[in-house]
Amino acid sequence: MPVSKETLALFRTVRTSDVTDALDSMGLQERYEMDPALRPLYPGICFASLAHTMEYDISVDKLMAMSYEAM
Amino acid sequence: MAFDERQYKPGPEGLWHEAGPYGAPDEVLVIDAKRTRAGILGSNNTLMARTKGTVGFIIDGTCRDSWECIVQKTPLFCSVRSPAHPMGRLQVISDNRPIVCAGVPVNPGDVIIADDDGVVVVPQEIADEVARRASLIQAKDRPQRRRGYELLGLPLDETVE
Repeated sequence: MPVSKETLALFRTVRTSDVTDALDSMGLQERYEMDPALRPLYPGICFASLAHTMEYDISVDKLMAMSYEAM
Repeated sequence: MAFDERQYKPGPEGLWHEAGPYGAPDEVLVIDAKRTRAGILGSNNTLMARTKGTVGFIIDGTCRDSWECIVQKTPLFCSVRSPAHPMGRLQVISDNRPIVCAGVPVNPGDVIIADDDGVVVVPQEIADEVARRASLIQAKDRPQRRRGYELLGLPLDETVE
């Protein structure tokens, strides 16, 4: 069920700590917090919105030496 | 063919293309890149995505041109910083499908909330109840903090108003 505008607006007023406390109160601890290796580029970034997901995986392709500009 | 042309040429000869379009109103791009050193997100494409409405970027992988991203205030969380280009290092697996990012399952349309403490995913099925409870929790906390500000004579800011 898509998230409503009203619910999203509420998420934009709270902290991640409010959200994890809420999840704890629902018996859902330790499930939804991403690995703390994910850090903001600079302090003070905050946002709440809806995910568009993408997945990539390792590939090993040889990059051949060539001229940079088209001849 | 020159290196620059081949880099982005569509089709089997091209060595890099993005999984899908970057940039849509109100989206958070959430990318599982296996914590690799290959800069899928950089200063240019995050800027263009923001012009189309993207409000945040989460990547378990690399942000490159990170100083420019900071200067242009890109709202981005990453696990790796590296100058490396993704060409020759990464391949596309999926666009807008269920993934696992940094240990948490994420479905398209789930709520992503992020601040200095980290990133939390809220599945859409429970979003209404989580939002309701989170608001109640903050509503108790904020007046207490405001009293502390007043006792210390601190100027009020948006976290206590």
